[in-house]
Amino acid sequence: MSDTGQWCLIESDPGVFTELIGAFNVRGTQVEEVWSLDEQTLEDLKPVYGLIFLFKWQGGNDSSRLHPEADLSVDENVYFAKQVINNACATQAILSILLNCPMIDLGADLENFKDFTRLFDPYNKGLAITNSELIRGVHNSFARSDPFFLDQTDQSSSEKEDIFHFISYVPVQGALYELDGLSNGPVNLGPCTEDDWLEKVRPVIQERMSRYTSAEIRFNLLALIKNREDVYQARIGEIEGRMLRSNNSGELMQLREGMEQLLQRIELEKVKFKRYERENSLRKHNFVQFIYNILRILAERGELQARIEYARKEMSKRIKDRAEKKKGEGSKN
Amino acid sequence: MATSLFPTPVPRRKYPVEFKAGKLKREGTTNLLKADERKGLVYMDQGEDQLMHFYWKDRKSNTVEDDLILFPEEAEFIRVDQCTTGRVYLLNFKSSSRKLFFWMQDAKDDKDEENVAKVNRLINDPQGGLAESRQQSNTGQLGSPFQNMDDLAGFGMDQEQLLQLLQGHGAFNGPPFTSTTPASEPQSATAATSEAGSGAQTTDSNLGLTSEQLGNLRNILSGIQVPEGTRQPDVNLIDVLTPSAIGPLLNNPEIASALFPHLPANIERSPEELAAVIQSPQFAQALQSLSIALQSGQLGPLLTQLGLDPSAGNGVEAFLRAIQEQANRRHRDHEDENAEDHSGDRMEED
Repeated sequence: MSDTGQWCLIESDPGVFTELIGAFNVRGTQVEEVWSLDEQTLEDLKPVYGLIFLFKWQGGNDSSRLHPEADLSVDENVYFAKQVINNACATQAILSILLNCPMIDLGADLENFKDFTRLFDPYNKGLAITNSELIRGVHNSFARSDPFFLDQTDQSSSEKEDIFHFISYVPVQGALYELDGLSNGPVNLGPCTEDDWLEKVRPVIQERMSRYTSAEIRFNLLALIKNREDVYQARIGEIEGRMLRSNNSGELMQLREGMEQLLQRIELEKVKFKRYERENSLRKHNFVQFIYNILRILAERGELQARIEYARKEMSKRIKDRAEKKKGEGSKN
Repeated sequence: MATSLFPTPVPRRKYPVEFKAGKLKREGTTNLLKADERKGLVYMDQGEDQLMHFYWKDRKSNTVEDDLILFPEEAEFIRVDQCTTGRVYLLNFKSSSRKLFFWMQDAKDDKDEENVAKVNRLINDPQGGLAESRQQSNTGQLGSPFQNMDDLAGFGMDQEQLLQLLQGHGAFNGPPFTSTTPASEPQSATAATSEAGSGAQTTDSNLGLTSEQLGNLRNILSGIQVPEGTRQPDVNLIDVLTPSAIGPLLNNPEIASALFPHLPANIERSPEELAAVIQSPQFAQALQSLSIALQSGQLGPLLTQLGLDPSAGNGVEAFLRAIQEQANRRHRDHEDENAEDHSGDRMEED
């Protein structure tokens, strides 16, 4: 029996994923949430290395059933790993993209891992991921300070811990692949190029979205993209080159404006990364002492009782709302 | 009393209050009461609608004949002193003329007063009443969210190990790895968790749970949240510590500096940052998680490390009450000390 170790649940948040990838020593990438599949949105994100579709797992069905005619044969060009344990799936989805994308600077650790496991079959690749101290260590550094994973925005849905499932979409050597660790193999969705793969993947993801929307299943879409600041710096470099060559004052003004915009965007990226860092440290923090001390202060000031009464009222309101909602649903049927 | 982690199932669930009693019926339209001879049971419990119900059932046929929903302060349960031939009690609805009479059928009357007090407590303060009765019958109740805890025994876990698990520095993130996260280093961990946390470092590897067991365990833990219908509607810390309620306190420098040590290391020590933290979704998440952990009833030992009474582990309200009691106690001690100071007892200086 192999030791599959213990994997914590991590939150599917672009800030978490971005820091996670950085912790693997992968350079020059970041993760962004994709809110719309329209052309402009995707264009702005380019270069996109891969997409991760995340949804609340219903159990049972592996995604290959959605593509009955798909070719599941294991292509040695594609790094495909079976998902051995559940909680690792977020990290596994990220690895599915990282390990299939030659444009990404993986860093020595993941490069070694990829070489070492290249010839493994999908199951053993999955096992290798699960057993990798490096990967598990990074993944687990994002442990919440408790094992209770609950969506605080919608308490009524908290009857069971939600299990999320992640599927990656990535272009590999001229073909678009859907990589789902629960599937039997990589799903080849047809030929594509680096340029048109996002157009090809759009209907596939739209189909999934419409299925999950009608079933009221929560989902979201994340993109693993080139680090924005790097992209903007490169563009600034281009602009500077053109400015040197240009002596048309109108063009120069335009270029300068373009540069201003890029500098502003870089500022925004910096702010965003600061925010990620802060959120991640709050995410990892154990707040028990903090909470206890506020409550103690409230108690000493004689204000705690009033808060308890307020909380009771809020709770009975919530219960009433829920009962009414239930009743409403009941009468519909 | 220590909470048993793996309670032995009791054959029947004990209600928060129950006692043998028969009904009394009015004869026609007169004011005369006539005893219904049937053997009955009065009991109260929270229904699936989360509301407090008052039941009377026929003990022989085991059929529930009366099922009344009681809202707080809506009714009172009182002794009818005018009746001298038996122990007769009245459930009197304050908002209507509705009256229900009962006669005690237990041979002994030593529990009467206690039962009546319990009924009134459950009517007027359902949460407090339920928490109290839970505390008293700590032997585990079928139908409580903790029935699943029996399953934990199958993993060969003891209470210590479960605690470590609940604290998150245990089984879910193996010890060799937790060192990469600042939050789980003992020095930055809370005083309460550091001890158990360092324990986790050594015992964790002995847990030897397979991924399958862990998966099952996770299901059990998530099963604790299952509630709907079984969970008592305890309060949620999210409602207690709303940003609008605690925000103003943070401008008080004394309060702010009492909280600074408990912030993550890379957060600036300023009232503005404190305000931002308490409004963050991560803080809300922490409140939610702690509420659930408290409702699970298994944090007692951890809470005693905060100097709280073990009963603090019986739910969020119990936790809050224990903090209040602790504050009152400190206040009294402080006053006593002051009194001593002034009494001139401290003659010998050292």
